[in-house]
Amino acid sequence: MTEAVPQDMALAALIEAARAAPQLPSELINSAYAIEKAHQFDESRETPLRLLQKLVEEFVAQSEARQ
Amino acid sequence: MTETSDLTQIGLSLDGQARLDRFKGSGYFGELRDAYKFAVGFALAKGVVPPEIQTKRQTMFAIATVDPDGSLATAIRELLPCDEVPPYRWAERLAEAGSQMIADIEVTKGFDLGSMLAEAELPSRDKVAER
Amino acid sequence: MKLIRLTLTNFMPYKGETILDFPQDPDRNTLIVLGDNMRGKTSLLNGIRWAFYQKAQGRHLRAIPLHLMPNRDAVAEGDWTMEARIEFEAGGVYYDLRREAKKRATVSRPDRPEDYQVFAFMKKDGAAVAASDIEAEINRFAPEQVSRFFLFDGELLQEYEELLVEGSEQGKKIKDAIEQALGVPALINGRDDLQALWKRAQKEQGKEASLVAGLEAVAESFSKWSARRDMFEADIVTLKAQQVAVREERRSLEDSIAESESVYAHKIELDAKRERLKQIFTGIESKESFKRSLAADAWRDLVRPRLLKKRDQLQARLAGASKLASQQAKLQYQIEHLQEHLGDSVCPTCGQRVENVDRAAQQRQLDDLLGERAALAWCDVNSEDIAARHRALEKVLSTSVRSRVRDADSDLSNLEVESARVESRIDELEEELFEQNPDAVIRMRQRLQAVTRDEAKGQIEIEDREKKLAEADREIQSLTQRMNARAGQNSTRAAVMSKIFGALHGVFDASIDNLRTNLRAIVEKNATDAFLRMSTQKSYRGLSINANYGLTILGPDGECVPLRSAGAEQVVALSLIDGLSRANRAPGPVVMDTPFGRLDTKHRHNILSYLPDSARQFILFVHDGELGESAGMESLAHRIGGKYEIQEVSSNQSRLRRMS
Repeated sequence: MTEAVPQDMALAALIEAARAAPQLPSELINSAYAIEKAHQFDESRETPLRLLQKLVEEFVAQSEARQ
Repeated sequence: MTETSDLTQIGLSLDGQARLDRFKGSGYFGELRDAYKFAVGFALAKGVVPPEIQTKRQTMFAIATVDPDGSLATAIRELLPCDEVPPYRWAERLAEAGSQMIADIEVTKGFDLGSMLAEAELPSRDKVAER
Repeated sequence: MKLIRLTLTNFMPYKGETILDFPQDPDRNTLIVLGDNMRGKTSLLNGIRWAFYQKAQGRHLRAIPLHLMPNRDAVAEGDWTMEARIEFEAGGVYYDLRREAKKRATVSRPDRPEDYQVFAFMKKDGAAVAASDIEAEINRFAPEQVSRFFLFDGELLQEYEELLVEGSEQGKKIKDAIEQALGVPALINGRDDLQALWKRAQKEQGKEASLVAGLEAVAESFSKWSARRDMFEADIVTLKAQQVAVREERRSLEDSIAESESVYAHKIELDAKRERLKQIFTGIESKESFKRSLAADAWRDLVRPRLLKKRDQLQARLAGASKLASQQAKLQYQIEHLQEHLGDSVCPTCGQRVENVDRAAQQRQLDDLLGERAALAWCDVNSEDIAARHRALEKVLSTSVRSRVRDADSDLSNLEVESARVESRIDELEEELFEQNPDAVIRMRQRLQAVTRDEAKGQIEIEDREKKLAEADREIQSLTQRMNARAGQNSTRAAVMSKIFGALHGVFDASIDNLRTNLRAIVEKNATDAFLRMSTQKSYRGLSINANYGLTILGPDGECVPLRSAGAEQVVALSLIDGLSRANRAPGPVVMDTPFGRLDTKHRHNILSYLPDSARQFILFVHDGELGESAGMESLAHRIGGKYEIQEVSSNQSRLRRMS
C-alpha cells in the first residue's frame, strides 16, 4: 500500500511520543499511522475515519475477548 | 491762461466714443473715463498737437469725474501752450487723436497695456539746462 | 518514482504528436533539453504538470487558461483536441496517465476554458483505475502540494526569498508545502481525525452515563457542553469558510487594484489638474481685473518721460532763482551799508577813526553796486510760480503703475504657460482614461476597505469562538474524568473507546512538534551538505534554518551573511530542494526549467556536478546561453542519458528532435 521509504521520520516521531502512553500497544499506533499515511492527501476524511473507527473497535473487541 | 473759457464737460466725436466703448468692451479698461484719460495720455506722450474735433461732438463726462485732482490739466499745461486753448479743450482734441492712434495699433498688434507703457518710456533721463 | 515517457498531442507549441523519453539508466540519469527562449521548454514542463494536475503555469506563475493551450496551427485546421500523457513507475508499479481536452460539441469556436471538457484516464499495470480514484493515486507519489519541489521552474527560485519573511502568506504556503512533502500531514490529519472520533465516542459515553444512577446530572451537563462544543465548532467552520472567501476577495481586489493603480493614479491626477485649471483661470481673471484697475492711472506713465524733463527744467530754474535771490540779498546789504556810512570818518568795517576818507571812491563803489542790482533785477523770475508748477508736477508724477503692470503681465504669462501645460496633460489623461473605468477603481478601493475590516472582524470572531471552544473542551474533559472515575472497573464500551481515542489523539498531537524539530535539523544538515558542495565560497560554514524553512548563509565565524546575490539565492534554494528530497521522500525525478539565469560559470559547474546525484532522474531544460558547450556540459557529460533539441518550425510551432 505504501511505498517503502528509507526512513519514515513521521513514524519515528510517533513512536517516540507513544512512550508517554504505554497502555497503547505499538501495533495499534503503527496501524493508525499506516491508515493516515495512505490517506494523508485525501480531501474527504470519510475513509480514514471509518478505518480508524473499525481499527479501535476491533482492538477493543479483542481486548474484551482476552479478558 | 484763459480758464474761464475752458470746458466743464468733456467728450468726443461719435466715432471717438465708439472706439472707447470698444476698448472698454474688450476688457482693456474697467471704466470709460480710464480709457479717455489713457487716450489723452497717449497723444501727449506722442507729442501730437491735434486740431479741433471736426465732426459732431458729444459730451461724456464732467471734469470733476475725469480729473478730480487736476493732474490731467497740470500735465497738459506743461506740455502744450494753453494761452489760447485751455487744458480741457486740449484734452478733448487729445482724446480724439489718441483714441484713433490706439485703435490703429490695436488693429495691427493688438492692445497690451504693458507694451503701450513701454513704448512711452525714455531710455535715459535727459539733463535739462538751466534757463 | 521514475518518469518513463511524456507524449504530447497538440500541446501548446507542439503540433501533432511529440514524444520525450526519460533516461532509465541510474548512472546516466540526466536528460538535457536544449532550446532558445520562447521555443517550448517551459511547455514541456507544463506538459508534465498538466498530465498530473490539469494545470499549466505561465509567466509569474499565473495559470494559463485552457482555451489558450491547444496548438494554434492545429486549431486553425479544425483539430481542437489536446492531450498530455505521462508514463511512470512508482512503488514497482507501471502507471500510464493520460489527460485529454476536447472541445464541447455545442461549441463551434472555443474562447473560454469552459468550452472544453477534460477527461483523465489511468492504467495501473495495465488495469484501468476508476476516474474517482485517479487523484488519490497521483497523491501517493506526486501530490500537487509538493510538486513545486520536483517540477522546478526557474522563476520559482524567487519564491524562496519569501521563506525568510516571517508571517508572509506566500512563506506560509511554501512552509505548508514543505511539511506536506515531509509527512507532517499524516500526523496532523491523524490528530484531527482522532479528535473527531474521540468526540463521537465521548458523546456515546455521555449517553450511556445518563442511564447510570448517580451520573444523571453529570450526563446532562456533559450533553449541554457537548452541544455547545458542536455549535462552536460549526461556527468556526462557517466563519473560517467565510474568512477564506473574504480573504480571496481581498486578494482578488488587491490584484485588480494593483493592475489598475495607474488608472486610479491617473484619475486622481486628472481631478487635480482640472481643479488646478480652474484655479489658473480664476487667477488669470483676477490678474486681468487688477490690470484694468491699474489702467485708471496708466495715463500718468504715458506722459511721465516728457513730464520728468519738464520737472527737471523747473528744478533747475528754481535753483537759479534761489541763487539770484541770494546774490540780490548780498548786494542789497552792501548797498545799504555803504549808503549809511557814506562820508563818515569812521571805518564802516572796523569802526576805527579814519583820516582822509575818500568820499569820491566810496561813491563810485556805491554806484557800481547799484548798477549790479539793477542788472540782476532784469533776471528776476517768478519763483513762486515755478515752485507751484514744480509741486503740481510732482503730484502728477507721484503715482506710477508701470512696474505693477509689468509684474501682472509676468504673472499672467506664467499662468498662461501653465494653463497650456495643464490643458495638454488633461487631454492626455482623458485619452488614457477613455476606455478605463476609474470610478470602478474607486469603488474597488472602497470595497477593499470594507473587506479588510470584515476580515479583521472575522478573525476576532474566530478567536472568540476558539476560546469558547477551548473552555467547552475543558469542561467536557473534566466531566469525562468524573464519568470514568465513577464507572471504575465497570467501564462501558463507549468509555473504553473514548479513552483509547483520547490516548491516540494525545500521541499524534505530541509527535507533530517532535517531527517538525527533527525535520528542520535534518533539512538543515542536508541543505548544508548540498550548499557546501555547490557554493563557490569555501569560507562559508553552511546554512541555518528558521521556523519557515528559510535558510540563511553562515559566514566563516558563524555569523549570518545578510545580503545575498541572486546567484547565491539560487544556490540556497537548490540546496533546500535537495535537502528536502533527501530528508524523507523517496528519491524521484527533478525537472528544472532554466535555473541558471543568475549563476556564474563556477556555480553552474558545481551544481551540475552535484544535482544528478541527488535525484533519481535529473531533467534539465536550458537554452544555449545557459549551458553551451563551453559553459558546463563537461561536468555532466558522463551522466547524460539523453539529449533533445527544440527546433522552431514557425511562430506557432516547435518540434522536438532527439540528438542522442
